[in-house]
Amino acid sequence: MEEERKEVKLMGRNMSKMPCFRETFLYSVSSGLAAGFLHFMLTSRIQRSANLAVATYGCVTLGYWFYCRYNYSVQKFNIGQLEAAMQKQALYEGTEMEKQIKRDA
Amino acid sequence: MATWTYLGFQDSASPLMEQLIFFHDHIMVVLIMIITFVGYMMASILTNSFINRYMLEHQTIELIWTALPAVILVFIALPSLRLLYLLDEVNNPSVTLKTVGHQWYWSYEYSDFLDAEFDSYMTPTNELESSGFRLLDVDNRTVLPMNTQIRVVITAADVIHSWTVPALGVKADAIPGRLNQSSFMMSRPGLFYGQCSEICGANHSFMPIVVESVNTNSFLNWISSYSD
Repeated sequence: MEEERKEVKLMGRNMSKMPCFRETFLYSVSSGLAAGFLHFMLTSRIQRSANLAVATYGCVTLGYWFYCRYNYSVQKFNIGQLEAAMQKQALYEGTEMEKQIKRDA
Repeated sequence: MATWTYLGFQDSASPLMEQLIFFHDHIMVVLIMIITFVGYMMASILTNSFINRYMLEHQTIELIWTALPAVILVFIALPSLRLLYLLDEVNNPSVTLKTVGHQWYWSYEYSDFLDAEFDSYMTPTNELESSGFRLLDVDNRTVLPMNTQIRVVITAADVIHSWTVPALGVKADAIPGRLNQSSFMMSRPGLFYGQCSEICGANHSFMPIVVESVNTNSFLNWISSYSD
């Protein structure tokens, strides 16, 4: 049984349903905290550690978001092409068109 | 459809609306980042008790906070322009629907098919079934086939109205003496609700739109029975 994700709403939009949103902020918040904590443990400089934590959070958010959304759109495009091809295959099965497509391929 | 206090987008029923929602999500993340960064800077400044007596014409920071917003805007503008041109793409619609706005109802014409035409009035609340949606249900729904490109030509007979179906990402003004064209494709079956979106008189809020998306066979059966 799939576990239901808790709804997180911002301005009426359910954030948990946005593709890549949950993973992006999981990775960015955790990497920001880790980077800030590690820097503090090494240097004991509070403000610089906090600045590093926020900067890491920002960079990871933007970086992972663009990467994840790009992959998502490529996957979506491929799925759409696959669906169209499957529909065409069902349509042309057993006809001359199918033989011609196989010859061309 | 939207219930009361509904703030966000309705679930998309067309590929274009899906892309609009994706663009909105993209902008939302960029905005969250900007607000986080600005909020952090404000908190940092408020908790800082140091004063820099020699801070004058710091060229590096000026360069950064001029160039960075420009870069952010580029990352917003590129998907925006892509979507803008995507919405205007020319495709080959199979079905044409003519929509005419009146005070205070919509009339529809299917000229491709034996000139089927009908009026669509809101179902009054006192005649509504217990399962009906108040101020949204109509007597005659606009039945259209799914997974088919549809062209809708919109005009009005009296004052300016606006034909809107949020789930499909369609909104176009109905202007007397002018034909506005919009195009969409419904990717799933169902009922999609909209309301007139341009003030047009006393009953402006009481002329809804209901699009019923069905498979091609059901649509053909419906249109042939309607033409009869």
